[in-house]
Amino acid sequence: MFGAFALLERSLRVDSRALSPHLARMGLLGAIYFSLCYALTTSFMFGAPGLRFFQGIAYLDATFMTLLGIGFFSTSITEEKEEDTLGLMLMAGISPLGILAGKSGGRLWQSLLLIAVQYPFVILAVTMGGVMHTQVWSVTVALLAYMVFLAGFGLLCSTLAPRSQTASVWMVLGLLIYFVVPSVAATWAMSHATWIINQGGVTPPTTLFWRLIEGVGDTCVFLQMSKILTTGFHQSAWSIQVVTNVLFGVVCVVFSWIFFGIATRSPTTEASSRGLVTRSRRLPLFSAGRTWINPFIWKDFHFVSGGLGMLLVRVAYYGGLSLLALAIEDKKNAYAMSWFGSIVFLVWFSVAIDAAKVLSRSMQDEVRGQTLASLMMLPRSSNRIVYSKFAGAMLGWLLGPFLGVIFIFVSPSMREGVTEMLTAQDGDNGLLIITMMVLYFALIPHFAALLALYVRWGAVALAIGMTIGTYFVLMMGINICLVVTGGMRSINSPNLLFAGVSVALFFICAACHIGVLLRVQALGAK
Amino acid sequence: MIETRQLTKRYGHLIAVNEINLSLKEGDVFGFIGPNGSGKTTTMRMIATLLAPDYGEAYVCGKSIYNDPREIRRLVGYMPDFFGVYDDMTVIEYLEFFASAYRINGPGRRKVCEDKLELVDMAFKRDAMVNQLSRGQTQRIGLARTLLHEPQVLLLDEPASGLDPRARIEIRNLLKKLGELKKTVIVSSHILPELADVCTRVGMIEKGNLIVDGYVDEVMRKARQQIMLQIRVKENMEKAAALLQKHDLVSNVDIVKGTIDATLKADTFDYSSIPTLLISEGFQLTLFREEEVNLETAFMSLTKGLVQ
Repeated sequence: MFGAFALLERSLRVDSRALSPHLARMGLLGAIYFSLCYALTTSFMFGAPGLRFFQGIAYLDATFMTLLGIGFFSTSITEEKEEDTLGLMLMAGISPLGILAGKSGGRLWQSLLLIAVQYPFVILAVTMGGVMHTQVWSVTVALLAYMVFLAGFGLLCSTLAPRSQTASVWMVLGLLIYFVVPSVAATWAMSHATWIINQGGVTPPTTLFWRLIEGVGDTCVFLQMSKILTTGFHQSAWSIQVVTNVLFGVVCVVFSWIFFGIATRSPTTEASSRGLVTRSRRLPLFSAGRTWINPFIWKDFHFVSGGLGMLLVRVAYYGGLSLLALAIEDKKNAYAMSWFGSIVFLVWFSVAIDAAKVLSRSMQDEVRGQTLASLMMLPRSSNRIVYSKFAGAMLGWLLGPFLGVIFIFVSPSMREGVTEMLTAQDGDNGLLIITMMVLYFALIPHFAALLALYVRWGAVALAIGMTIGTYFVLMMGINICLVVTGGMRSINSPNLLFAGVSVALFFICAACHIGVLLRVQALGAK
Repeated sequence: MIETRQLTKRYGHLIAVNEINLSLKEGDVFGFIGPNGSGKTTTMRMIATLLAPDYGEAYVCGKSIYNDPREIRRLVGYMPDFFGVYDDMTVIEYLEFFASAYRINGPGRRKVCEDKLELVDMAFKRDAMVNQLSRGQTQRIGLARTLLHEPQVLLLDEPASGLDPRARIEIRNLLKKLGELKKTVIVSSHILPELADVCTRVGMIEKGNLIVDGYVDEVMRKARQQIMLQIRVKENMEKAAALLQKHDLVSNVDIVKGTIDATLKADTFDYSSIPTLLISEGFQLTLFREEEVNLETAFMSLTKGLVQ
């Protein structure tokens, strides 16, 4: 039995000896420390600083873990399939259970440690006020259970999928169901309860069906956290979300074990990975066609960004979201406007994430395929090669921001909001705020492109984490500078803050460009 | 064509390449021989401008690796020992991509790619996905890619690894052809007999030091410090061996599997008196030959087996 966990033991040993996981945990603690300081410095402006601080950390954790989990857990078995090493492991006498435990157990442990290590620090939120110890403990348990869910589900996708990319797509789709179905169920159950109250009845509903719907609504970690973080929460930490998430994770592991033999029988390296780019001459629009004058732009447009097929997917996605937002905007009530705001954020967040995804893939494909040496041998400067690749990858992406800008012009609320920001007379420079926001969004793809040259998985998730960390560090640092220099007393202090942050963000982006070029040259020479 | 002067590369305390001096002319096919980790790949990468040396200089067609790296890349075709390919492309797309990167554009581009595919005998895989090729086929596609821009200089790091015997012979013939076309080739390989057939010059590198460099005949001569004769007589083998042992030119005699192995003293090249003596003593010779010295024996005799 212990032999089955030899691989797990090895991965834990490697993790404990390697420097980078410890540095990552230290980095996370650093970010928490900064957000703690930030919450303290701004506590005079808002009530319940502990709750604000803890809420930020909890949602950041859940978002970060979701994004990291997609790359981290869904590649555990597929990376072995792609490298054709699964057969060697089996021949070495490692059982399927040993491989599953070894490949995903170590990763789960690393992720659980990331949450566990925060616990002593987030407890400080209780002393800051606004949040109870029970709430901190319940959120931590909910997050740990969510990690088990992600690890199990990622492992199942990785076992069944032929390639890492397919496994990631399956995981994203699964997570969409995980987020959407409980949200719909919770909304439905709430409107039903309201209807009962309006009819003069009493809640909670007693029928099995409505209890089931309510139960489904309780399975999502984000909904559970919002419930825990409401004032007066005093339920057990062992909620439906915790039980169902852990149970689902375990069931996924069992299914991975059962299907391991069938799913890994045939080699997968022969599988095609052209996505929506066809080889058929019957669909010339969707094929890569002849190479363009700039071959790097041609290659990355078709094989990284997805070519014309993915361009149409983007049109459907951004167009669909924009139309939905416009339809909601028409209702003009507070509830509808909160949804409108969320969709607008989703559009622009998607634009940033899409940019991060295509840029990181543009770099990561070359690193994984070990093709950088061949590229660096071409009689073109490495800068030109890198920027041509980026241009090709971004060619398909450009449609997102283009539709986003059109949406701003079409939507009356958005138009009004932007005009108000740009023509504000109360001292705040709207253009500075917009510049700062754009630079923050731009930072995500910059970090992602750089990180893709260093890490095997999770470059986009790490980029988001680093961007949020940068936000806290810059805000905090420049705030302190303003306080020390007396700038805080000036009427222009917010403008100074925004300008300072914008300049700092610009320099960080420039540093990322230099970092990418140096790293590409170094990897090409390896 | 290629000249290196005291080319040196260090990784911390490890000296990967130590003051290597090379001078290759147009049409030279230079076999680079050495154990794994001896510095062959590092030397090639420095000449290919992929890696900056810590000390020394290298010139390709008179261009310095420091001043004209881009011009050198135009002149050089480099095939690494292991190279990746774009899995999601077809063979022709892959070659056209690189052809375009070498600024081969217009209607002639496809023809260039197809010609190179013919050259490496891969035309039948033109529309196959690159990830469906075997290791040997991938190696041939790599070679086709290296030849796309008609480079003057070729740096081939283990081009025959992973190839089947037929493909190896084809690569050997291709290298000969490239030499005839006056291209300068540096080729590294572990399969030494193959190099001996193809190369005009060889260099042996050990622990970063170039210990032998010269034309193949010179290197063989250097390796052959003591000639060994293989002799067989019809009768009285022991008696013949005893007679040889007393000969002035012979340092040692052994009988191995029915053959007398007679090792001559150092610097002995004229051994015509030996068969004369045996015949005059009434022995009937059935075999009399000099043991062949090939690159393998030369490599074993000239290197010490040092690995860093």
